[in-house]
Amino acid sequence: MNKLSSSVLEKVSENNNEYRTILRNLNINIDERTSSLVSELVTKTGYTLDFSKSLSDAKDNIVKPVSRIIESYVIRDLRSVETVNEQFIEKINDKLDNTDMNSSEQKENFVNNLNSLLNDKYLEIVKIKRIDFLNQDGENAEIEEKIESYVQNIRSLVMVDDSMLELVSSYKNDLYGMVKKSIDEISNLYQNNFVNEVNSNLNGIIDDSDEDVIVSSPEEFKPFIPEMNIMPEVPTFEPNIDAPVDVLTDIPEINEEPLTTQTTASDFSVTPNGSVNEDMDDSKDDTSEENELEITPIAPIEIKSDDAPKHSYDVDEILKIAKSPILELPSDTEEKDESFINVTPFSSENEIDNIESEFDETEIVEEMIRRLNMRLEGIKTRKESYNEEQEKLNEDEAFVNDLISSSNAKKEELDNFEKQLNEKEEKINKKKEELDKKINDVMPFANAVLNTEKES
Amino acid sequence: MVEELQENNVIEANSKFEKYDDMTLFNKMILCLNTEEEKLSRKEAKLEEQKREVEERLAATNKNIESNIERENALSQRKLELSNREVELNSKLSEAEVIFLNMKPLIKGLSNITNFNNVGGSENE
Repeated sequence: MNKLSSSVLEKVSENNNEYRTILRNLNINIDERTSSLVSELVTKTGYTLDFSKSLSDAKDNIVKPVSRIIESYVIRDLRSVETVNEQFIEKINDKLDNTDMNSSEQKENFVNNLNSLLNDKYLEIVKIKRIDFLNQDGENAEIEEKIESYVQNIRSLVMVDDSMLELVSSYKNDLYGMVKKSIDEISNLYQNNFVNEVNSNLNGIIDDSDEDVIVSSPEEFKPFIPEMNIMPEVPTFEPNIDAPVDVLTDIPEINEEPLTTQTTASDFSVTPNGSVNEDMDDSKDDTSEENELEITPIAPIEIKSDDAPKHSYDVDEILKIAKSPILELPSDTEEKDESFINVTPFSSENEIDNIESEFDETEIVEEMIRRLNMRLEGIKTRKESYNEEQEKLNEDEAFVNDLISSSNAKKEELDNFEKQLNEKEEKINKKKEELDKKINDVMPFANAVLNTEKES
Repeated sequence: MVEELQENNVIEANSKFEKYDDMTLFNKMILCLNTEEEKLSRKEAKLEEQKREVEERLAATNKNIESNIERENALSQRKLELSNREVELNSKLSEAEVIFLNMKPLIKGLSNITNFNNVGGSENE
């Protein structure tokens, strides 16, 4: 039997690159939500915070680091998923090599094994290999650290009250919600890509095998038909499952012991060197905690036969798989109905009816417009008031400037006057010195004459 | 013509915002309002600062004016005193000059007497 080619992995890997689109959208959403948070915080602080600077800080300290953290996680996750993909392709190829599908039972067993492998083991091992982005409290330590750092930064600038902390808390909830949603989308993308591609290739391989068998005994064999996501809305599908078709009867027994759908997850474990082993009980302990994660089922591959199907269809279960790829191969029964095209009738259910808005859209829009108009009016009033005060201040400044210049001129005038007085005083002092000198020159003679008169 | 221009402006404004979805436009609108309010807050704060500065300078200038007035009064008083002193000094100088003028003939007389005594004595010898 042919093997799955390496192009399957390449194709899966190529399809998985769509995670970049999801991450880009997530980053845009985070950016917008962060801008909204900063707006709200600035408003709460009464515009004490510098909006531009706060926004720039938020982008540098929250948006960019968080984007890097998520991208790093997703890339690591993608690597681990691709490792598991590789191991599963090898495992399926081994099974294809060691399986002879000569009888309907063997074929059914083989398909059941593949169903089990893809539905249960693959998802479980992917989840086991995966480290959850959010911890048990629904938080991520690195993101918490970044946000806490930003809050501390705000604390250093303004007083942070409870309402602001509530805003931050609400922001974190929204952020984690967006991140979780995107990671789930990416996870579903990986799983769907793998299952879709493997099923497509397996169908081709098994169909080739069937054709060989049918050639040898065309009346006794029934073609192998894998199905994905049987849609219950199409009424013709359900009866077709049980419809009588040609059955493979002379298929020899399969040499390998078939795997059943009852196999537990621990039967397929991943060794540290990356190989998949069925019997590795040692890995049970290591993975027991992570096995608690809920496993999203992927649509099974089914075989149609004359007998009642051993694998019952759980339609509700299948309906839950909203993101699973729809893969259907043409069957004999469908070929018979080529003249009739199945058309799904319009469903009377309307999901929009179930969605109820908290407020009336007209009222909330009008309220928003009213508030925005009030803010706009406030801005206009403040601008007018500012312009008036600016003009008044300019007049006051001109008046004070006049006073300053006249005061300075008066000071200079007084300085000159004082200088003149000083010169005058100096002149008077000189005159007085001259007079004193003249008198002192004469006074000894006059005193001698006066003394002579007294003696006589 | 004016209506056409206004209509063109409305169309131009609409086309300017067409590229944004509702959420982005709403965020940008909030951002725009916040920015304008922040800008106004800064301008008002600057205006208050300027007002405070004007008040400070006015107060300092008033003190300077008061100081100038006091100084002018003091200098006027000093000028008056100097004038009085100058007048008094001039008076004394004039009086001294008169006395010296009167003393001159007396001093000359004494000088003649001294010269006569010296000449007569030598002739008698």
